[in-house]
Amino acid sequence: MKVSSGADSLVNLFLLLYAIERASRRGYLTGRVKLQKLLFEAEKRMTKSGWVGLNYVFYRWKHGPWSPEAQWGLEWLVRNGLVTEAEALIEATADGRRVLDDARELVESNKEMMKLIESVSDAHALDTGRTMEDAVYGTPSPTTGQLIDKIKPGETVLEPLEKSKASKLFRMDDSWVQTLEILLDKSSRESLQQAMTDAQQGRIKPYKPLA
Amino acid sequence: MPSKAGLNPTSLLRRWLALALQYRPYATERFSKSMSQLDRLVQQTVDKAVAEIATDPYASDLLRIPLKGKRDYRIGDYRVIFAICEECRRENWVEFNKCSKCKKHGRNDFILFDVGHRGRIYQEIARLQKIKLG
Repeated sequence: MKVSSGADSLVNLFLLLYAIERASRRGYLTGRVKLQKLLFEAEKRMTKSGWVGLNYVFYRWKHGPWSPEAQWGLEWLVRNGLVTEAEALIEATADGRRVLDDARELVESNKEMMKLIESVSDAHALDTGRTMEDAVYGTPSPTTGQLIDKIKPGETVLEPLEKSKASKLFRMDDSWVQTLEILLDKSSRESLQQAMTDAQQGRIKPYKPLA
Repeated sequence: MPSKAGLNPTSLLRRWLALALQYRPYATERFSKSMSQLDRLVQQTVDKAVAEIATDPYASDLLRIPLKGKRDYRIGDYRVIFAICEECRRENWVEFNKCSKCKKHGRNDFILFDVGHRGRIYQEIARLQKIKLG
């Protein structure tokens, strides 16, 4: 199975969190099928514009285009306290919204991609997963041109563009990569928070090198 | 002209300067706890990294808000998060780092906040890659 690597994985997680927050703000993000279709639609439009932001590979699956990495991403965000998934309603938590708020600068420097995600989320705010699933079957695969309905299960429906062919890439420098590695990981986030509390309360001692 | 020990006055001066300019590490309780939870081999690598940071703490990446004021030094799959006291004061990052004993630290001090693994996300994704669809 094809998956993203390195900083692309962080971009995927960050954009996934953004898409969830946006979709649950304007309407109801009712279930994984709807989330997958929103991501598919957003990445399809990005690919059409020659952009590389979302880096998911979508396969034809039981409910149309499906990205196992996006499914893992949702589970990661839930496990790390940034998203909740209760009774099929997916929402960003207060911590998740805080991460997005803190990363305003990153959102700002990738404004066009974020706007694209927003417009997809807004356009489908009141759609159900089923409605979106039905609509997507009649469209051609951006990768093969074949109708999605006719593609065999397990075959690729959409792949991100090669970066060398893209007219626009998601901009994120090394400082942001390292910041997101911490913010998107609950144990790192909490451990650093504890360290900051130690500093505030004066629990700092000279470092003793190993003997 | 090099001496018998292979050192000339210039290299001696360099070594003296390097020692004089050496930054002094301080550690939060959390750092010490995180360090104690690492394998001995990783601890040694981190210890070496702390010595490298003490020589040139600026050879690291600055983190962004909300972690502003802190730096990240990578050693393989691990990271050391720290702040340089002189930089913190110069750039007015005191409000981000909030060390209560700020004034007790000299300009050559740096605070080790935490150490930990940086690749949990990447490891899980790599595992995903091995799954076969069908």
